[in-house]
Amino acid sequence: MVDRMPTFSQNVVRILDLTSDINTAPKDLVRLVEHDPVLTIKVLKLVNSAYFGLSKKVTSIKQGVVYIGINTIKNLAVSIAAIGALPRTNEAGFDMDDFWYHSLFTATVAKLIAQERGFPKTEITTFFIAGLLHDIGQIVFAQFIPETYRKVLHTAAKKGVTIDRVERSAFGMDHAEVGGILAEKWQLPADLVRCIRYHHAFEEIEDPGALEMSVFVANQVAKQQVEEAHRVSAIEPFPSAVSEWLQMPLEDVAGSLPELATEIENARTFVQV
Amino acid sequence: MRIRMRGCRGSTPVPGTDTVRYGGNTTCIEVTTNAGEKLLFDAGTGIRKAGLDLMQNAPVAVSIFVSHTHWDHIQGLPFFVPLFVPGSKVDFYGGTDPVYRKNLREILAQQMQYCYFPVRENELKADITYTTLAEGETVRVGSAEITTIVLNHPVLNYGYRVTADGGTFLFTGDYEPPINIYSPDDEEYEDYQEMIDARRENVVSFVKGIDALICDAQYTVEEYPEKVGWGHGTFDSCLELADRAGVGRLYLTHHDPMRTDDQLDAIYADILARRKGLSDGPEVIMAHEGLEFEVGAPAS
Repeated sequence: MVDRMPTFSQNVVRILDLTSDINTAPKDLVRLVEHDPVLTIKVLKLVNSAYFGLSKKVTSIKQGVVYIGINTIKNLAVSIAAIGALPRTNEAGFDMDDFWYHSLFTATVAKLIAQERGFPKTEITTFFIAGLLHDIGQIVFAQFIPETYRKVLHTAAKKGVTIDRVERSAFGMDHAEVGGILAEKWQLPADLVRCIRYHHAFEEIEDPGALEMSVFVANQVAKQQVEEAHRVSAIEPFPSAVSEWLQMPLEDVAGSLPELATEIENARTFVQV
Repeated sequence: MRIRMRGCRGSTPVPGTDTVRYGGNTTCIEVTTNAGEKLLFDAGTGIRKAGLDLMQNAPVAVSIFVSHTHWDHIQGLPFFVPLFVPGSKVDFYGGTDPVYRKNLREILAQQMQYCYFPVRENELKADITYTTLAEGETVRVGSAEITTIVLNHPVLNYGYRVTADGGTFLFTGDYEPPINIYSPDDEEYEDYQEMIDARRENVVSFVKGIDALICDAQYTVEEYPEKVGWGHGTFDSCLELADRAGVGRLYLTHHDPMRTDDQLDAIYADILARRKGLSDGPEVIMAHEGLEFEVGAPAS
């Protein structure tokens, strides 16, 4: 399924630009892949496939580049560009720009929380990736069942409830589960799979760690940035484990991260053409 | 086991008066175990003559390991006679194309399509099998054991470590040790360097203590800055790997098509002069077409 998963129209243009110039700096290509959920998951899937039989899972794009080489990553990007883009306004009425911005925002906040808490640099990347990929299941719905998904989006917005509830009553599973199933099938690292799968069912996580906590919080902070009328999904209250761990209410989180404004500005330029 | 270098040239065949001593054929290495099994590593133009020689003792049974599917490592295959002869047994081993998901058979069949070659793959008369190998996988061919490792190149490239008759050698295929894509003043530089060092350490431990290393040495260090990312090592990167891994002998191969015999002689003399007086380190050999050597116990 991932092979037919299209990416964002802005990035199709960027990929074609970067890959048609033989002198493109590898680090520019890496930056592009790192900010694109579809490219990211495709690279991680390839590097972690049974085919490479790695004893340790690869959790970052850079590690992937060291392992399989920049040219293979470049050609993966080209193959994604060749699939084309999920139109920015598609049949599902799913706004790709909003989705991407939300993913990047969540990734950035999760990363900054981890940074504030003093996690080592190598682990911080995982927080970013988990935030970037947490909603990847939504793209699957939007691409493969666009008409039904349009109704789901409409219902969630009209009723002001979280989208996973409407998805579950419509399809019997929500985008978190779908994303989790895919991530597992693609043999992504277990903590990443768990983080994607349970981001709307926090109480089902047996022993939630900093990764799940950060992504849960970051997801709410990202939703909070959008006016209520335009929110795809309602804000969820912090479960007690999260409140205890975080020691601050949702309203204070953004203000507690001094680098947030600059980082988000960077992310925003990425989403815009 | 006995090793015979059937082709030592990189990139493209270069026949001519100034390449006659080191040879103009592209990569192919022939291995004969003491039990008589025949293995070939890569199918550059050097495989053509290997095929003719094998036919002297028909029926042929041979295993061909492909490091990667760039032209200079497969272009001899359509002229490998045993493929056309009923009764031949040819077993191919190699990776696949992880981007477009083509397996070895599809890739090799493509070079024999109608517009490229008059005989199609499914018209070949030999009994042919294809086995896709994963990284780290070990296969056995008679008395030989072969294990793969991914080595950095612009396409998926396997190095093959071969153990038979009490000896072990490794053929890198094409290999450029990964380099840092960031500059030292980039924030990401240090993290990336750590990952590279870890990866290089993996390679060293895979090669550790083997008898012979047959290594891609296409460039000189002076040439390398212009060739970064092209997927090839330098004479010095080969020496570094051989030194760090405590290899017995180092065979330098995949000679640049622009390199003349005299230039290779001069480079070799320079390497030997630089290493003169070193108490340890591998014996260094500049590989040439037709070179034969033993690894492990020779056949009695």
